[in-house]
Amino acid sequence: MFGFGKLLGSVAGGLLDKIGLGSIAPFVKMGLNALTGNWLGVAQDVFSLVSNFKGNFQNNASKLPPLGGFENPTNNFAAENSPLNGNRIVDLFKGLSQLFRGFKNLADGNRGNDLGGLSRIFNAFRTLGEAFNNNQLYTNRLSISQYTNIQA
Amino acid sequence: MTDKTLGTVREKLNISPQEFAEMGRVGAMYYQQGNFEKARTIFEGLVELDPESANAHSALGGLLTLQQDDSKAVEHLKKAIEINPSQIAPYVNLGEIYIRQQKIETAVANLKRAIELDPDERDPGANRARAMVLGIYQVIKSEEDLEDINLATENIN
Repeated sequence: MFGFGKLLGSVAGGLLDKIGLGSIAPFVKMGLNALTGNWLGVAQDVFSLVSNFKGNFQNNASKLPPLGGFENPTNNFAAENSPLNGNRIVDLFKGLSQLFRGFKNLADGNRGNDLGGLSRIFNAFRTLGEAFNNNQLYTNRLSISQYTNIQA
Repeated sequence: MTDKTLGTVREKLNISPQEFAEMGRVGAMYYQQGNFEKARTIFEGLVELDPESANAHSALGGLLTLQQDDSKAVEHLKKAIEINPSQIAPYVNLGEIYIRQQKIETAVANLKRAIELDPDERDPGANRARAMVLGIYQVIKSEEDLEDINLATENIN
């Protein structure tokens, strides 16, 4: 175990607060108090995990619930190589409109869910279109960190 | 939305994996900016475009975790794991939700899985899981310390 005292000190100093998780602390205590089953197993798991921490993770912990692959830097594209632009979004709108008409023609009383799904896709394309029509946003699409400096 | 005989809307519109990932990145951008409604609109659309995308379910599940829309979040996070069990983010977010629901045993199992998938402590999501485990550890330790004090007090008396 490495730097364990320092780790505990960090928690006491508000590590959970630092990553936006201060509000869950009371639930941990209540949850542990309510634990009637495998209390020992849980404690063993927790102690074992903590004993293997290297102690370097605190400064690289996500402050929001992580999203997964869409946050992955390997998905980044340089602006000039980006596969999407405003014109492509317009094309997608046209394609979706055709699908929408097709579904409506098939209206048989059971298509409500499909039409609801298509409307969610329409809304997503509209929001994406707004993003790509924002010139500043479009020309700075190198990384998510750059996005964060631009007003939505 | 999908139909096994007709394919997904994504396939019908010939949206490439790169284009789909770029759409997801725009959603992630809005999320990072704090514009959660726009991010949610995009992620909900991506799930409809391709219901078999683990990334889309994971992203929507993450955002719903933040918004504490727990039942919907769990549904999408479990679907993401079902499609791709090696993604870290869904386990982290399930851990957070189960802590909120005071289901500590299930929470620890999910956090443990996230941590095991990132042995080098590089993934910010897995590190968030480590912080949660450390929080649980601290509570267990403080409870143990309190019991020791109580025991010592009883012995003195």
